[in-house]
Amino acid sequence: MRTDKKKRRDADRKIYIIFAAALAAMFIISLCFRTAEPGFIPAQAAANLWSALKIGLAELFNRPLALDKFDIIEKHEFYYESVSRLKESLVTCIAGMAVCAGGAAFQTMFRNPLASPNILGISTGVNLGTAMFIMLFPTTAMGMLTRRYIYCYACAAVMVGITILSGRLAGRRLGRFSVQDMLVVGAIVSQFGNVLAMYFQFKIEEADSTLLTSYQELSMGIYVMTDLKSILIFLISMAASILPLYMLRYRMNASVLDDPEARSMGVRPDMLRTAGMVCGAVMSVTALVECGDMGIMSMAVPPVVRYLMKGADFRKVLYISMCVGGTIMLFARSVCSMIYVAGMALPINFAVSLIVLPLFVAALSKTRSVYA
Amino acid sequence: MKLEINSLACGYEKGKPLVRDVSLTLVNGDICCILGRNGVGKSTMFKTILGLLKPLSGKVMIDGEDTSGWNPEKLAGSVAYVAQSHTPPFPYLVEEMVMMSRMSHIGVFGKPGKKDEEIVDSLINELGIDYLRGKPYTEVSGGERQMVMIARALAQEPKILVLDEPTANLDYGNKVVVLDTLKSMAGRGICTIFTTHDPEQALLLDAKTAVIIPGEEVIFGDSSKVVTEKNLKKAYKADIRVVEIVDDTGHPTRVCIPMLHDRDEAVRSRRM
Repeated sequence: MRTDKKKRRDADRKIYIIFAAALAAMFIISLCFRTAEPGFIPAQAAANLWSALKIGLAELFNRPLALDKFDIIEKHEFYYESVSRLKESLVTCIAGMAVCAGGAAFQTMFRNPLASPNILGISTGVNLGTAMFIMLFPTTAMGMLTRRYIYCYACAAVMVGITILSGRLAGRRLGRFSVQDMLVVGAIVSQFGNVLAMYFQFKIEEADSTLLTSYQELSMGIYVMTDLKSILIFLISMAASILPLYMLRYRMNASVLDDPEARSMGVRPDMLRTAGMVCGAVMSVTALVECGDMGIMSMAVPPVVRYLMKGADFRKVLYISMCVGGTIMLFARSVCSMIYVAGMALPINFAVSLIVLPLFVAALSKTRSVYA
Repeated sequence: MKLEINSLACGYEKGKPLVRDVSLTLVNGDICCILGRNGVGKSTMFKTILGLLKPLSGKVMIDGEDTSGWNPEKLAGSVAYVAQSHTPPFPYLVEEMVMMSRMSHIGVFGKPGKKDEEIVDSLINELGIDYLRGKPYTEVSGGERQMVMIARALAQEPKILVLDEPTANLDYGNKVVVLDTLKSMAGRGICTIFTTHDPEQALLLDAKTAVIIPGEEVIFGDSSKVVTEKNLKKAYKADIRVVEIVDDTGHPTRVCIPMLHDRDEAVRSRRM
């Protein structure tokens, strides 16, 4: 018995290491890609980033090295590209991890392998926010990345609020959330949001057709435009949502139980679900604002992970889903930055769908008896 | 440990109690069987004992303390619950399922430690389900699931174990295993309360028995005095013979045998 347990633990540990190593390798590879051109070797990327770190620290602590900043930069080929690639890779990786963590949380909370934060109308809210933002600030929109957060968060919050309220009203006799109710209500609310977004798109095109390209680039995640302030907002939002979920990772298992069972174990299921929903919603909105709509990841990756591993402990599902999410996003981003179609980079959500769909279909077909 | 239920009335709407005037006292090692027809309020009474519903009147007291003011964490330290049936949507391993009840001993942000693992291991071995520990819970049989659920409840280290129809949908062999387990739990000093639709289980376990009859005061006492043809007729609106037989060891044992009637007559009598 002890040997079996040890074997299972060793197998789990191996899986953890494999997925973490895949993520780390993909991150390093991603640092060596360039936009629409051949990449550079990891040693060159490392040298550039090492110099960037030294310059940054010297500037922070007023060291003499900061005075030689431009000489140092001149000596390093592709310096600026390396630094922006690091920012881009970091944002992409965290966004992928967060979207999958949100999906794993929602599926556990709603006891349904098809649930994702998108059932609350989050992606529609972000799209609507982006459209409103570009329409209201047509000339300055692309330079006001921080303000975009405000519009996207506000619209997503309104959509989530309407969906939850309607879902609660629909399921009030049941006394709890029903995923079926939420799916239907979420679809109707999203439809409403989509119509509004289309109206704004029409208005944007009417005003200036080049603005429509900006809108499409932002909502499809074709590229990541970042400044320090928006990276800080991104990192703080992610930390504020991923950390509580990570800390609650064992407790989250109780949300698959019926409420009386969970309460008899000393767990408060309502509070647990509320915490999970808030964290999942915040991390998904943040990821979507930076990287465009990639909702399929949140729905598809956790079932694939459950199929790959033994058991369904939320701790394992969360950890591996985050690793897989980060790896897929980095891979998709790297591939998309290399492929240009009609003068435009391939949308990242297109590449993500191509990677995730076959995995999802395979996992669902193998686990049908379990989920049926 | 002493569980006292005093003049308890429970239900979902004020003024419309489903069960009323329940008074009973149980101590360590007692087994209490609750009998009553479908929809009479057995589960409602359980929900009230578990603190999920507020009593409409009366009190549930553990060791002299009224539990209505207890939070779920405190109540979980004393009472564990085995639901009728539940299949999680994801393929949790059996040992993961059993471990879940240790949440009552782990902080909100905590995870199971070595002590928790030792408790779960010993219970899994004690209940003879060690061959299941690495299997997905969704793929084990109904009888095995029930044993897993009992192991999970016991891993909570409760003083009182509440089971909602633990033998429902089980074959004879599995029913015997579950009843034997309940008996051994009583031997360990755990107070066990369970519902069943087989009145003879109360007789087999020599349990204290509560018979819930709609609109009447709950009948409570030793099974030998409470499980009578008259009370069963009142409770189930059916003729049930209580017959004494002698088992292999020479001890007299009583069994219940329902009498079949003309279908129309049976339907008429249940409507009365």
